[in-house]
Amino acid sequence: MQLVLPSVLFVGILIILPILYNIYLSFHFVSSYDPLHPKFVGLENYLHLLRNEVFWSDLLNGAIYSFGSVLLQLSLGLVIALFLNQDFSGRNLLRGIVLLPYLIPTVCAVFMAKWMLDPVHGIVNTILHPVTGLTINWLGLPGTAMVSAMAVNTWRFFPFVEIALLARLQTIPPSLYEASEIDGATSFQKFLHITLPELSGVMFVVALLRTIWAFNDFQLIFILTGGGPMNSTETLPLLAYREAFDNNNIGMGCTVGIFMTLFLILTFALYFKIFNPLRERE
Amino acid sequence: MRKKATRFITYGLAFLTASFILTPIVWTFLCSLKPDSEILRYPPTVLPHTVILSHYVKLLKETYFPAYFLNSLLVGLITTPLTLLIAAPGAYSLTRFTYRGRDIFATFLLFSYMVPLLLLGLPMFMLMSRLQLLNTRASLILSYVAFCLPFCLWILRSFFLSIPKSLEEAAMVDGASRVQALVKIVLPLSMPGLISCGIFAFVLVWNEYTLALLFIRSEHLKTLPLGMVAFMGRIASQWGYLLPAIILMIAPLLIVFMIVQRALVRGFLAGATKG
Repeated sequence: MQLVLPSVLFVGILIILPILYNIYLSFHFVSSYDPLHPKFVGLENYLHLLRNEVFWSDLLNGAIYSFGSVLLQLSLGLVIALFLNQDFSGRNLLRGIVLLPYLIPTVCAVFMAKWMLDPVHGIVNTILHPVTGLTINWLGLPGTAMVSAMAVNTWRFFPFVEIALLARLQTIPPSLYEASEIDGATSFQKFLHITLPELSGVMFVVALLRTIWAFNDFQLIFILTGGGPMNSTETLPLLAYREAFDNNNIGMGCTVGIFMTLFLILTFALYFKIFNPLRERE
Repeated sequence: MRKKATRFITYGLAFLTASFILTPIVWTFLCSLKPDSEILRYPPTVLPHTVILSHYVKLLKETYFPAYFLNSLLVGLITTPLTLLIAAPGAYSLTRFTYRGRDIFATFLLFSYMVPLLLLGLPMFMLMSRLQLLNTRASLILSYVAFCLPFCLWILRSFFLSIPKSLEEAAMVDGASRVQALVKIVLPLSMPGLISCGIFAFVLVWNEYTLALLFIRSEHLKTLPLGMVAFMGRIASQWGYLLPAIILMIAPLLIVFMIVQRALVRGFLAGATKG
């Protein structure tokens, strides 16, 4: 019992206490210059956000960003996991290489992307220019900035999907495939009727986790675009930071956090209702 | 004929996958070796015509980069063992004893990673300012340990669960204490788990930006991610400094990964022959 005490203390003081403190602060005005004297304002922060157009467009941006990134990660992760489950020499080396982006700090991934996407000196435009004849300012236009953010997110985090799916692929008993071969199934039929159903449980969990993490992501977008151009890539975590420090009200930032949690819970509930693979098996 | 075609497709796919991952890293590395005039040349050269290391030298001599690097290293090297020191006994207790609230605590750990970081970050900022810990390395170390604990407790818990209690009981019949049983029997058998927790903690510290942004103001206390962004702002589009900085920030992770991956594989093999 005493052995677990330090863990409980750390988690209690630095995770549970801040969550409760956050709820308390969301009903207060807190200046970032004078954070020790919160002023009670009731529901004012909540009402301000609900009436604020930027809040709703940031929510939409966050939904697009998470949904787009997770969709790309799932498709890429699935294809590469299926490929790395095949037998060929050099496979283990490639399995190691694929894990690399998950190890590379987000700051580095973002700066590498910025360097490659630079409108004048970037390699991407250099390669595309002869084809399209355009010099695209990737991070300077609303649409392409969002796509770039999704691309960086996908490159950085798809290995997580790939490892999870590959681990699950290795546990599918070969006898299932052998039996279907005797029945004359094609490779595509085997994929559709054996592989996909077997993977659905892991895919459900992985998609859920990655959606949550993309929705909560602050660092990647903040460094890549800072939310711009014209708020087109601003998501709720960035709004929270902006309200807390640029607009000088930490309480408002905390209220954004509360709304994010509520949206996440709502999405969870909906997601379980639509996709829950555990229920289908019954 | 068909076999040849399959081989061709397989290695084509392997090449595509590898280049998707490696292109940004290799391109950054190549450009970091070019002189300024060549970095900005249009069209760009693939391999540097002139290889220079002067950007690396300048980065280390004329900027705060060494300070950022040492700060990240220091925070990482304190956070990692501290996390393991707290998590190992904690996870052991979660698997070997029963008490009220144990299962609730374990379940909460699982959900703590779904909480938005800023939901914790802003109140943590307030907490740290109350404790007068803002703008110190201690504020980072304390909060990073707290962030690493849920994952490490969970991983170590599953490792400890797989070790039969009878092993420890036998040792304790022979006169070993509970702590000796943990240190001499359970921990060595959980080596792969301890290593993955260690890597997790260090990589988290090396990567973490958001909390550092909230807590740290002084230039000489900044960690690498924070320092790199500060860099970008101050010397606008000075890619000559930024590109080598990216490479130097990735390098230690690659080295650790290569060493540890071999050790992990060896560990698994040893386990397999024993079994």
